[in-house]
Amino acid sequence: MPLVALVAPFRLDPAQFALGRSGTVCDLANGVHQATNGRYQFRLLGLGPPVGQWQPSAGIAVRNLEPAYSPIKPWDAPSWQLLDQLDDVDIIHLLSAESRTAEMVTILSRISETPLILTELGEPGIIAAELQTWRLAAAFVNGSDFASKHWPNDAGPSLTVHGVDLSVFQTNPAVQRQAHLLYVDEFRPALGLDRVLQRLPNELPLVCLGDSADADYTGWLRQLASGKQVRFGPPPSLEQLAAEFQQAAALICPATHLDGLGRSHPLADPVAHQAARAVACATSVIARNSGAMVERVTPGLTGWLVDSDEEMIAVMQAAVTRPQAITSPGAGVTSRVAAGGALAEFYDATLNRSAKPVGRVA
Amino acid sequence: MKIIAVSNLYPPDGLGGYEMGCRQIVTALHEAGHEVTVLTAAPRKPIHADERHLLRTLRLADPYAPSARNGGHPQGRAHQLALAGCCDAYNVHRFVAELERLQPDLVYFWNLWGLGGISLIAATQLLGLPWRMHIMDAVPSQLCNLTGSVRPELGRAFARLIRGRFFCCSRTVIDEIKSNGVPIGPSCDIVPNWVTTDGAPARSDWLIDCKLRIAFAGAVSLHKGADIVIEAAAQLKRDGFTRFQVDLFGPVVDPRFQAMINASRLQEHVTLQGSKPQQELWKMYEQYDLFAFPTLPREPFAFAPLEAAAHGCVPVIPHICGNAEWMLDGVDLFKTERTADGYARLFRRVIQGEIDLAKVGRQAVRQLLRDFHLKTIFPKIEAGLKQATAERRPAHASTHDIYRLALLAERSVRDMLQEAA
Repeated sequence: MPLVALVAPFRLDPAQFALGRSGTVCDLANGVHQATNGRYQFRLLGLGPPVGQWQPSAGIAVRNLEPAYSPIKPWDAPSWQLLDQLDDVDIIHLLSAESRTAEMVTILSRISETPLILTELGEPGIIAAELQTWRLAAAFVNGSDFASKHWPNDAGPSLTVHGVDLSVFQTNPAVQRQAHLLYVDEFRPALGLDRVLQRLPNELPLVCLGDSADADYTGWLRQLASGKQVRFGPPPSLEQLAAEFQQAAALICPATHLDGLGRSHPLADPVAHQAARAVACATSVIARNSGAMVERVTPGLTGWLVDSDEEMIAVMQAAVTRPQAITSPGAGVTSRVAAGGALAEFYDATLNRSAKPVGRVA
Repeated sequence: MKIIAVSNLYPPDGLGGYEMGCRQIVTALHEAGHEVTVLTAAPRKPIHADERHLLRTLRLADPYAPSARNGGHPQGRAHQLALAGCCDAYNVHRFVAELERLQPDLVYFWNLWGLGGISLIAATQLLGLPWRMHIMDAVPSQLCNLTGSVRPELGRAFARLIRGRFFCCSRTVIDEIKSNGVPIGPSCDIVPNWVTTDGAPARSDWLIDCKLRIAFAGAVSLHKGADIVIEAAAQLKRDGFTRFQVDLFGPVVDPRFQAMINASRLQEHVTLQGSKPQQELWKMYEQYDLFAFPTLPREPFAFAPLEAAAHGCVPVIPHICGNAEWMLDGVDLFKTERTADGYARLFRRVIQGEIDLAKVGRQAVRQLLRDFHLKTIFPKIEAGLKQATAERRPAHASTHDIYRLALLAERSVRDMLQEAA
């Protein structure tokens, strides 16, 4: 059975599996494994301490790698262990091009003639763009059609796979929806929670789950929430997160980006993974009209897309005070966020096109 | 065959036997009718006009320069080491352009340290071209040394991913490369070093006028054991022997050796002769009885003792070194412990007639000219190269992608070293 190395070239943080890239990776791993119907084995490689909290599917072996010493970028330095861990794999599926580890994996894949499939969980950065290192990939798996637009038309075969783990994120008719809204993500300015809290009416209940590396910013958020019906909580486990989705009236995704001139722009999330999880739990999503959100949220079916902070507050109010104003998606939409069955065929085709040579010529 | 040979240095720019051996093989390949182009680095100082088949278009991140070892900021030295061994995108660009232009049947690598050798090997493999490398020093482990020692994972990956083979001059050098963390053993074919001189098959006189004449040739340095030779001479003198002469040929950059001679009042017996052209040296060997060569145990397989032996100047080498693998003690050379005592003891035995030096000398000449002449060795090398040409594969990357990969690798290694500082 061919072996795929799923490489997360950044810290896989056991405390962060509900949030950010770490959460996307563990969902994606189980999701793509399910999508290949057991025809591929997976080895998930990430930097950091042993993975807790998360239960991988039976076909996924998780290896935690020790990054090289780097006081400047402690979780960006490549792990020398990769050189051994990638030796016996048939396909390398790299989950970001933007780190030293990603660079080492890219180089190694070409030298070892192992086909490289690239998925960019963030936005392609300046460093990768400078050398067009994506040209060294054999194929691309994208978290959304929006993300697929990052690559030029001639970049190589491309497939869009959503990859939510449906064994965790699913509807539960036994759970009663409650009249509160939910925010789940890191607490950082680009994600726009402070702008929501500034405008949040006192009577509108909001649950905010996440954490921040910036204690000052968290303190400011708590200050903005003072006197309002806002509850802060730590990042939940994946199972707790599914339960939170099942209870909430709607998930809010207010991401905005402030540029240096004081103007705000929607943050173009190329994966919108939290929204996909919510949809899998039949929870409405109220999101900025940008990036992959446009694919996750079908207005009137899976939620609402808004263009301004004011509009977001208005829809949030409607979701709580007049639930009928926004539609609850229902179980039928979950297939929209499942990893498509085409992935196995995509792996097959990539392998056939650029199979790793067997043995040494000499 | 159409061959591109790649070497960090090429005579007259050189450090010793490795480059000289490269030129001798290139000449032999030309004489055998093969088309050979040599790609090497710009010389480290101005030199006279070159042969036509020679392209000095690469750049050298000189790892041998004293400034690379001792001077500058540690960060700068680390960067230099990475450029020298791992990746030099500029050299990859030039190299790939020459491969495209010349369309060789194979690439014949020599010493790649200083050229970003791993990236040149990788580029060759990605283009599907077969290659062979001639090893006369621990080059693979030097290439994999990014931080002062070889990361075991990197060494293992190098050995796993190479698709060519190595001509290695001795088991000693293979063992050193392996013990440094690069297990290339299964990819190695042992081919001894050689002589090109016609030697002195008619030589009949040794110990003329009952005087022992000892030669030493090479860098007059501690690692070649020049101090051991001088100290052994001092012991002979202390023991009352006077009918001996020691001449050390080679560049002298360290004043301690003349100071040692002066301190032991050996001026009448020991002389630093400076460098001599190789052919002149060969002729001079016929006037000497012994060739003192107390080199380090890691010596891969020095040319100088072979050339001396071919002229009847019997080598005296340590029990452990690359040369010791190939020749028999008391038959075609002498082996002793690598100490002044060991060398002095052997010199005394020769002077006192306990050893039949003429017999060993004649045997050494015969053995060298029969088994170690390039005419004997070259067919094995030529056959290995011919065999390699059958290993051509389809290219696995475009030249653009190879250059992009080299740029990425060079930048990535540089940034990684800086971030780890």
